[in-house]
Amino acid sequence: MAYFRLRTDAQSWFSEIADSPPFRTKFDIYYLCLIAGLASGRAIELTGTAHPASDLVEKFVEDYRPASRLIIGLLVTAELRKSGIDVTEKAQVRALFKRLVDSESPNSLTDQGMRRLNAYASGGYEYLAEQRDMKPYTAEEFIQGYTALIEGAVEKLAPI
Amino acid sequence: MRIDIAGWSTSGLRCPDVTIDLIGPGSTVPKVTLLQMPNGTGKTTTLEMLIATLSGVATLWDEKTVRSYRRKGDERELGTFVVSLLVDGRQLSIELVLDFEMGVARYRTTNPGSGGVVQSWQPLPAVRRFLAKEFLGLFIFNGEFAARLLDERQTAADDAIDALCQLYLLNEIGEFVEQEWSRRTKQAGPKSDNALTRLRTQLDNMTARRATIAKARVKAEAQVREIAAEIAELAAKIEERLGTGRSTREQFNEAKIEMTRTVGALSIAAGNAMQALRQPLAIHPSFATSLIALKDNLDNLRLPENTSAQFFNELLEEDECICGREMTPGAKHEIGIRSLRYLDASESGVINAIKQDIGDFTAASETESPEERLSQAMAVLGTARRDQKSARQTVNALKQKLIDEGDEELFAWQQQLDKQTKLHGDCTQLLQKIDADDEKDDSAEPWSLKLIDKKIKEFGGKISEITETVTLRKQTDVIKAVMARTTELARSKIKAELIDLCNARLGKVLANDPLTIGRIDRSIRLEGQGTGSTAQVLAAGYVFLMSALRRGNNDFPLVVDSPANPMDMGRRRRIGSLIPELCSQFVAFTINTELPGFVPALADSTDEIRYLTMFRRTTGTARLLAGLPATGVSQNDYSVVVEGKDYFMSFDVTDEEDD
Repeated sequence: MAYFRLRTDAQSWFSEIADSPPFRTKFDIYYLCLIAGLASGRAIELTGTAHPASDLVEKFVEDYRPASRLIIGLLVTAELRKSGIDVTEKAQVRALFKRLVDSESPNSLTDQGMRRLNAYASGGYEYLAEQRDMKPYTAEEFIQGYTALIEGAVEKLAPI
Repeated sequence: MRIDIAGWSTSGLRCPDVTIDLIGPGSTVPKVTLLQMPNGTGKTTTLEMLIATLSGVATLWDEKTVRSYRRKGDERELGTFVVSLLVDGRQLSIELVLDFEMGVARYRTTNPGSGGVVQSWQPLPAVRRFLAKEFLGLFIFNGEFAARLLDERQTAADDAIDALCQLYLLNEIGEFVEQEWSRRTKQAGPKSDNALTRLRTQLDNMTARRATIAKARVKAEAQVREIAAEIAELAAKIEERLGTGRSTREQFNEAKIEMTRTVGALSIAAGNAMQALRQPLAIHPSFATSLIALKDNLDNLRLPENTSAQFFNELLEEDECICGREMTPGAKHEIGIRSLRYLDASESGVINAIKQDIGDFTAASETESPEERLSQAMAVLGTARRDQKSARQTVNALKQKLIDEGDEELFAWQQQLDKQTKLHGDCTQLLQKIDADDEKDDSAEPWSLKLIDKKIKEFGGKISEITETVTLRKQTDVIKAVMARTTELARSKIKAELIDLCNARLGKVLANDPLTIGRIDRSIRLEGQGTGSTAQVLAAGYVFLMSALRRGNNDFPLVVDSPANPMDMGRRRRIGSLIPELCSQFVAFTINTELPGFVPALADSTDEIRYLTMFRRTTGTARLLAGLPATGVSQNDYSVVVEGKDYFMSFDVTDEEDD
């Protein structure tokens, strides 16, 4: 069964802030990395031993259930961009959906879909770590600077 | 195993020369021995000597420590302390000799049953493990120790459970199988000598490294706890001092209130901002743009075939269509063909839902959009951060002003606080390093225990392959894992049982002001309260210790200095009546002021009780010699020991009377 997985070095990087409010679960950290990955288009697969990671959860946690399908939609758009497929190419879009989406799965993703989502979270962590001089020591400071980092990521992303 | 103390004798030390025979006229050790010693008679020295003699640690003492036990004005070059034990009824005697001229300590051990006299500290191996200094500290102590069991900074309660229930034996099994595997690997043939030697060296080095790091971890963890407590104490002292002045201090207090407010506001603002961030469309407009494009270009909504085909099949069986018209053969045929246009693969369900959500979340709304909500939350967060920073700066500036105004003690506290805060950070960092699970394998001296364990396993695996002991290695690993898990489970089960047992007993001992143990996490943690009164804490400590002593399958004597001093009469009575049923031998050093309540309760609970009274022979106590009873007195030039309840109960000296 595919799980949401977060790199252990990402967990260490966030260790000063991850376990206290406003973060409620480790999924918050995963999500912030994921959005950075989707925004920057950076995906690094968690295969082999290069990037050890640990399982978080199997399903979207309560806080993210309302946005879960939007997140899957963003994964699809990121993968379309990565594959150079235009959104109007319906057959290819549908084929991509078939590879990534599974209505029977507890998280609505195929194993491949989950692997790619985890890859974006992994790439997003690297993007965030590169953009900052040091690991975050207060959640407030990190959150306040987060949207600017995402803005920067989107700006750097080349148009299709 | 049952260990009893049969007695001890001392000469040439700070405490007076005396022989204490705990067996007395009977052939067995009585359950309770009360030894009344006025303050200044050497209770503390006697306790220290008991532990030093039994544990064999004095050979590590420096000259100064050795000489610190010499009696002032005494010309004798040697001081000796001899302890006689009964180990399952067999005699064992250990003698500690302090050579004051040379500044060294030496031992002599007498095992009449096996080995005779040995000129060193050599108790039999089976006994030795119970004579470790840490273990002895669990049953030879002063009254304050019981309170330490409830001190959050200490690990005394956990240590007591491990030691008394002998959980270390499980660890020893793990070590034994490891040694056996290692022995077997050494029987490998010459074909693999070079590689094997290298691997063995690597394994030995890494194993030694593990021991060093594990030790450092224990030390750092203890330091973190102790320093955190010290930091809290210093911060409280500083705050109290700062809060008790005028003008600047009033401003300081106001600034502190403002800082608390801003911290709260910042926490709320951060929570709101994070909540707004949980909606991805809020984070960047490009997300909504791309999702809308995706939605607009997806096919028309279809139904997932796996869940919806049955609907059309059943509709074809109906007399009427869902539009109300009659279901003619023609209509059935048409519906059968057209239904295929609306059915699709299983993922359609998710795609439909995604389209639906994109539509819902990106639709224009009269209320705030997610983006506006996030933007507003971020603005509030920015303000809250500025306010909090400003409030903190004000507090720091006022604190500095107070220090500059001449409060030197405050300055010293602040310096100590800064120093300890840094040390706390260093220790925490060290712990993180040791506990890290992502250390890169690029150093000969790694810090992460996980990495070290991994490397030990790798070296072990390679050695196993070369020496053809792979199966034995796997079996060794299984046994070690079983032992580790068993220790964990046993500890947790024992803790739960002990808590139940202790709480039942505490219900009796503290009937009037009940106190409940909630959990044991290094120390004993009370339910619903930080700590109890001194007397409550002492009572809880005793109950725990005695329950733990009985929980292991061993009987040890409990030797306590001033067991009932801080307790009120009611608790003395209740503790006193419990002691005989909780341990096999109880030896208490008391003074006359703690006898009421405690001694009658002890006497009511057991017939096996001996009363000894001891005092120094000085000109100050010369008046007491005339009142000595006719029998039961043993004396020398330095001390007098009297046996008997009457003399014990009527002895009215609290402090030693000097010349």
